[in-house]
Amino acid sequence: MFDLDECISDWKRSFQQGCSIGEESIEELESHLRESIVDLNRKGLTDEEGFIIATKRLGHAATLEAEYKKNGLLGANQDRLIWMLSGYIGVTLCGIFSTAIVSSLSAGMAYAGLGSTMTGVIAMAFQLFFWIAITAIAYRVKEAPFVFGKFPAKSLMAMFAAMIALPFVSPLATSMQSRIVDPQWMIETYYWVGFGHFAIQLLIYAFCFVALYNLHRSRKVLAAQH
Amino acid sequence: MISKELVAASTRPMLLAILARGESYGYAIIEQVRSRSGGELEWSEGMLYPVLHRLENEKLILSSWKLGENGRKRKYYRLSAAGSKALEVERNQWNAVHNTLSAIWGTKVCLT
Repeated sequence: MFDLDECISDWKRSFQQGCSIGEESIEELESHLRESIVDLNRKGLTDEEGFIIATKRLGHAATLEAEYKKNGLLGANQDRLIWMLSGYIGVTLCGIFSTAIVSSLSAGMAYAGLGSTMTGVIAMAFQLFFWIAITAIAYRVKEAPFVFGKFPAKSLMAMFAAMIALPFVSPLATSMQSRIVDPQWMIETYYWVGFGHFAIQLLIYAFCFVALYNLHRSRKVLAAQH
Repeated sequence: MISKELVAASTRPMLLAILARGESYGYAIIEQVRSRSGGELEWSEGMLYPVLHRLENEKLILSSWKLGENGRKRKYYRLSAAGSKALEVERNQWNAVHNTLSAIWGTKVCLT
């Protein structure tokens, strides 16, 4: 014997605990489901047939959850977050790659007997060429206008200003420190700062990868259900 | 069939316009859109409720639970003062788009 209330309770349970659809919204969806069933009853369908059709029209719980998720802060900024995290990882990887090449180049030049000034100039020229090439490649990516369009012009300007200004902070602070404290103190501090920096970077990478994985997975689910 | 993008873009002004005519609830809104569009527009529940909640978060609409004529609880939505202003802005924008298209296509019909 078909029990409509029992089936509706089961249907409500299909929404995961702690999902993006709150209790009140589930109640609202239940109200909608019942309206729909009553309407189908009027058209001559039984409760069972009505329930099957009405739940199918409402969609799978995961689809509904994904739609409701878009309302959250994270959902609304999902694309932006994906690009920011991908950008951070991409730029960091490029930085590591260019540093490795510059170190190898410098070692090679030192071995070849080149002067320190010349080595420095060549290394700097390489860095400059490398980053111009990376920027040019990034701009050639089809989605570039789409990506930059997602960030307001003011925030892009602020990011650009920070990129220009921040690299000067570290050498300035180091030179000030070296005038104030003795070299041993500097070495010990660098050891701890270096270790802390490495640990924090590792944590940030782990966070970025996990966040990216989750964002991509939720997007995939949504795309598959549409 | 109307494209998904156009349906999504028109959801907000349509909801505001429907609620400007009086308070309503999800099921009735979907039915109203279906009948008024002659079946051209099919809104899904998964799309409607999150948009309603977004409009509510933006304080453009207000909601309250009431007993319907069938004796069941329903969540009714109504337009707020800010919603009326937003509807006016939407109406102007959509009229501008409509008038431009009409002028290009050679027909001019006023929406209001």
